[in-house]
Amino acid sequence: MRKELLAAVIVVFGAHALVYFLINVLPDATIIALGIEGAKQEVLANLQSEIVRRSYSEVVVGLASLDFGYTIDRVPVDYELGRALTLSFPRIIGAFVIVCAAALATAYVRRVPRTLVTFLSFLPPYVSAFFALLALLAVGAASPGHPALGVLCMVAVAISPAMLAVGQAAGIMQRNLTTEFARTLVSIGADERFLRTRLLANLVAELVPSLEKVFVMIAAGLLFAEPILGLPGIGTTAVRAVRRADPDLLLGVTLVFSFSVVLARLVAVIIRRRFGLSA
Amino acid sequence: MSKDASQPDSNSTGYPRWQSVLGIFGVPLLLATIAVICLAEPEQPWASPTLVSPLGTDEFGRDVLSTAIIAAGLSLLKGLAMMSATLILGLLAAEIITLSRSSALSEAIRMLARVVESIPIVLWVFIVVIVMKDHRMVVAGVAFTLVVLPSAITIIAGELLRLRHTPFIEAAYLLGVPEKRVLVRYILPKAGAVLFPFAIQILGGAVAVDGAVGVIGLGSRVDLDLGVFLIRGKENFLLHPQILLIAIVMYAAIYLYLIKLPRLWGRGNGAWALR
Repeated sequence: MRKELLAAVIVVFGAHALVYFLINVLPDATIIALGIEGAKQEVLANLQSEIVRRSYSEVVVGLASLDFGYTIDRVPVDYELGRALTLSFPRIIGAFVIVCAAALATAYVRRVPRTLVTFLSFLPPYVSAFFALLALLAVGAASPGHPALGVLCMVAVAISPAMLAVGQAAGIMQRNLTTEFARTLVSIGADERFLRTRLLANLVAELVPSLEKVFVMIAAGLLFAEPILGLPGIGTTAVRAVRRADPDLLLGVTLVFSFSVVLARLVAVIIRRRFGLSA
Repeated sequence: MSKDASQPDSNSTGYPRWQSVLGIFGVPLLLATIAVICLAEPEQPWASPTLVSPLGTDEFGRDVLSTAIIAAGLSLLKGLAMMSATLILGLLAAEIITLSRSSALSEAIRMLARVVESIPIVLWVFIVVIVMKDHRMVVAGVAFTLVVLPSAITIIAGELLRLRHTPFIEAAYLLGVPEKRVLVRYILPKAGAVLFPFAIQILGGAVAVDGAVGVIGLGSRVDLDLGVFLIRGKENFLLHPQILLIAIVMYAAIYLYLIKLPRLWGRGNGAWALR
């Protein structure tokens, strides 16, 4: 576990340092991103003086005191991220519940349409978001603030990871149903539903390592679904940070994403340990 | 040396292998060629659908259908280029790692892969694209290749290492077959079972990343790019829904084509991504 924790710290700070290095390749990336290279020299100089460039050691020291820096609008990054996460949190949890429910429901399904499942898990996340938008436009519910927007965003985010989990669950269940244990239960007359319920624990144990990938897919989904559906949240904040090459906000978003993915991996390791399986 | 019995001699689809290759690489080229031939001179913006132009024209007076086909063909071609670069570089690096037998090097690459995979790949590509805004498409392609490379090296090196320890390959080494010949003649054809589905996953990812740059508004509105099509389709949906619909249909067609590729190649039933 100590080794896993050390790896987690390396992963989070590795991603953070890499993003810092990338956005500091060009010192005036923000000006290029905002498309104001042709503005008056004094305006450019004024903007450049407002964007405080901190060295990486200063950024890390700031993190130790929970100082994430300021956006180019001079808003504290921790405030921006906190607000965005509060808005996105129900969507993340909802999407995760959909993924879990879909995977567990697969345990009781005899035949999974594999081509459809592969197709949906393979589609880019933004195509699901545009499908959701089409559905909203079709029923005339695309007005800002409509409650259906949040629900559809959650579904659009969950489609790809849910289908990935369904596909994996179907394969695992199919394999487990042909084991000696399952065949013995069938031969002594066990009900199929009972058998599938008994195999559920094995399914969960084998699916748990995919938790990390599911969280990455949910994060990728949020990057598109929220801006496309016009919802505020961590995805919209990330896209805004990218569009404006906002250095501190980008670093903050990177930390949030990599920390949640690393946390998912640690949870997976702990669960697998409890099941008595190797990490 | 006798041929390995487990290796299929012919394509299990029943098609000669050259037809499969044509199916894989020919479709995007054919799409782009047909669309370029059909693409007429710009007409009046938002012209109504006609027999020649069944979806009408867009705000730039371009035929919507042929521009969508060109965009799909270009997306696939760019994806193929990114996939080829990733596979070639990944294979070279994996071969060096497996031959060097350096556990520190492979551990470092594995850790780099974990670092890169801790945030969505598209976010890496966006960051690089925004920092280097000129030559956006080339930069996006290079960024995607570099970001996927550590994972590709890890997967390919694992497969090469596994194959090197199979009795068949060990026998080849014992008989004194040169390393290069072992790799090209015996290891790579057998590694295809893993490399081919992996290549299609990379191709799917590359097409997605290519469109994503347009979707978040980093592309130009006149770009022949499916991502830009989606955004323009969203903006004009109420009056001209055909742009958004054709872009979604094109994406669906591309990904259906991709998941059917393994069947064309004779490697599975299209459900490869699930295993």
